[in-house]
This record gives sequence, structure tokens and C-alpha cells, in this order.
Amino acid sequence: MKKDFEEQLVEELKSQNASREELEDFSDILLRVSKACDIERSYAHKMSFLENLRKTPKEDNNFFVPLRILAPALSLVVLLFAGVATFASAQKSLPGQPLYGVKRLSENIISAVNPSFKDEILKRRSEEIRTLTEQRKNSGLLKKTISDYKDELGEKGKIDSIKIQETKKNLEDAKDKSGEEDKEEIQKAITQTEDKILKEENKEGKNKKENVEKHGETQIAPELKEGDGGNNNNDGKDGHGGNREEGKEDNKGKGSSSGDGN
Amino acid sequence: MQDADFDELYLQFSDKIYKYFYWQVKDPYIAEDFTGEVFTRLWKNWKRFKPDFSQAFLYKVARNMLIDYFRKNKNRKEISLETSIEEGIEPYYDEDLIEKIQNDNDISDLHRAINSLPENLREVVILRFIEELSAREVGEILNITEVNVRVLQYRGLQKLKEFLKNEKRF
Repeated sequence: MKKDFEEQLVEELKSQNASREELEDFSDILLRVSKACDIERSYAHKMSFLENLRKTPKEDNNFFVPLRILAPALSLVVLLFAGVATFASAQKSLPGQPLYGVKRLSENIISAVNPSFKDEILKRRSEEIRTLTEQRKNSGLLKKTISDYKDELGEKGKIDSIKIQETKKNLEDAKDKSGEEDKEEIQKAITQTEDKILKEENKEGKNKKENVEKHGETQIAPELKEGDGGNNNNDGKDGHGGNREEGKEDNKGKGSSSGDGN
Repeated sequence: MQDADFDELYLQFSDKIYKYFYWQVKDPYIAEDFTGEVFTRLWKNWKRFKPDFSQAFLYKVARNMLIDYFRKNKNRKEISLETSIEEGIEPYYDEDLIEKIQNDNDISDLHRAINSLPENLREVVILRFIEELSAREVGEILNITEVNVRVLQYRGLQKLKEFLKNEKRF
């Protein structure tokens, strides 16, 4: 053991309040440790290793990315791709298929952000109904899908006219291709859809009429005001005359002159 | 630093690393394999490691290998020589030295004494007294303060004294 090392060690042990007796005991132990640890491999042995190592190329990679960063990053990228792929595949899935749950979940998320997407959801349900009837799938699945469709329709407020017509067409196709046991259910769905369309049309019509009425008064009033009493029922009492339509047949007003008034 | 510098580094430090492994695993063959693995990894990434190379760094690499070894193989003596195997480095043992080690009673006695220590004391005792590293270097390798090293080395020596006294071999 080197002298410097020993001296330093003694100082450190003294700082730990080692007694003189302890220091002597420790010194003996360290002496024996020093003798027992005289382990040295031969020079020939070490050179043999180095020669073997020479055959190994060194990495010359300036863009080394530690594995602890690369692995999680790659995993994340793979997961993202897998997620996107799953999402995309799910959009084409049908009731009963493994990814159908993902499809429904994605629809809920999208419609929460974009409420108009609900029209698309209705259309999708109708497409599913049509496809299930074409494939002659499990009647239970079909019934469930029709029920889902009705629920969606019930919740829907204003509907896109083009999409609802497409939806109705899908249902009608489905009815044509369905078995007898399913025709009645599909027909109910069609009827509900037609009722919905009618209701929306009525509502729209009513709104238009209200608008016309409202805007109609506004259009007439300025003219009346300009005419200063040129009202059909005006008897000229206001003195202003000013009915533009002089000599109008139904003008009863005595004062209906071109504006001379009195 | 060129290849000659790596050779010099290997000649200077490989025995120390070998001793470090040997006193931890008490198997000269495993110690040799691990030593080879450490320096093979260092060689492969020499360009990246050489600017910041230090003795403490070397021991840290060695220690990490040991931690993995003890964690994965509590009951079995398996070792991970992924880099050596990958590069086709054949294990080569200094049989003369191994024979000497295995027949040396002093080494056996000391090994028993060191093995009796709790892990935290054992590490400090090996690095401080067998590897003759400074308290500062030991602290850097074990990620503890220098003051802590001094406390642990004192306790380690006390425990060794107690064990050897009971053994009555010394």
C-alpha cells in the first residue's frame, strides 16, 4: 500500500475518532489486505486480449442516440402508427366485429367536437343496416343496429337534407334485401325517418313564413310614412294630403290632393 | 488519443478492474469475462468516451454491470457478455493466476471476511482498500459524499476486525 495512501487514510480515520488501538488493528488488517490483493494478470495474457480486440471495428457513429432515449421514442412512434392504423381500420368495421367499439367511440369523440357529424353517424348506421342485410348477418345484430339508428334519429335536431335522403335510401335498400322477419323493423325505421324529414320541413316552412311576415311590415311602413297620410283610409284630416296615388278610386279622403293640403 | 493510448489504458487499468470484479463475485473466470466485456464496450465507443475518460468512469461501468448481474441472477451465475459475444471476442483466461488465487488461503480468508460485510460497507472496503482509490473517487463512483465514504470505511474496518478476531486466523 502506497505511503501517501496510508497517511491519508490514517488522517481520515482519526477524523472519525478512531482510537490509537483501533488504528493499530486497522493497520494490521490493511497490511494483510495489501498482500492478499497482489493480483496481476500476465502481460502476454493482456496483449492477447488487445490483439483480439483489434479485430473489432470501433463505432464511428456521430449520431449515436442512447438506447434509453431511442427505445422509448421508437415505441411511441410505433404506438402512434398502430393507433392511427387501428382508428382507420375501425371506420369500416361492422357491428359484431372487433374494432366496432373503436368506431363508435371515435364517433362520439368527433361529434362532441363537431356536432354536425351526427348526420354522418345516422348515415353510417343506415349503411351498417344495409350491409348486415346484404350479408344476411345475425338478426340480433341487425335489430340492435336498427335500435341504435332510431336512438340516434330521436336525438337529432336539425338534419342535413342530403344526408338524410341518403340514409333513407340505404334503409329502403336494406328493406328490399332483408328477410321477412326483419322487414317490419326496417320499415319502422323508414317511417320514423320520413316523419323526421316532414317535421323538419314543416319547421323550416314555418320559419320562412314568420320571416316573410316580419320583413313584410317593415317594407310597407317606410312607404306609408313617406306618403304622409296617403293611406287608403285617410280622410284627409291630417291636412297634408300627399297620397301619391291621386285620383285613386278607393281614395275617400277629401283632402287627397297632390299636396296642397287644406 | 490513438489506439496506442487505449492499449496503455488497458494495461494500466485492466488488473484493477479484474480485482474489483473478483472480490465482488469470487470467481476468477467470471471476473475475466466481465473485465473483457467492460473494455470491449469501451473500445467500441472509444471515440465518444475518450474525451471524458476517467478512472471513476471505468469503475462506474464495471459497477453497473455488477448491479445487473446481481439483480438478474440471484441464484444462477449467468453473465451478460452481449458486446463480447457480438464482436466474437473469445474468452481467454490466465490459468496460472487462477490457480494461484484459488490456492491462496489468505485470499480465501479475506474473501470470507469481506463477504460478511453489508453491501454498502463491502463496496467501500473493496474500492478504498483493495483498489486503493481516494475517498473522493469512491464517493463519485458510489454517488455518495466523501464524508459518507469516510464514515463507511471506518465502520467497514471495524466489522472486518470483529470478523477476523472471531475467526482467529489472523
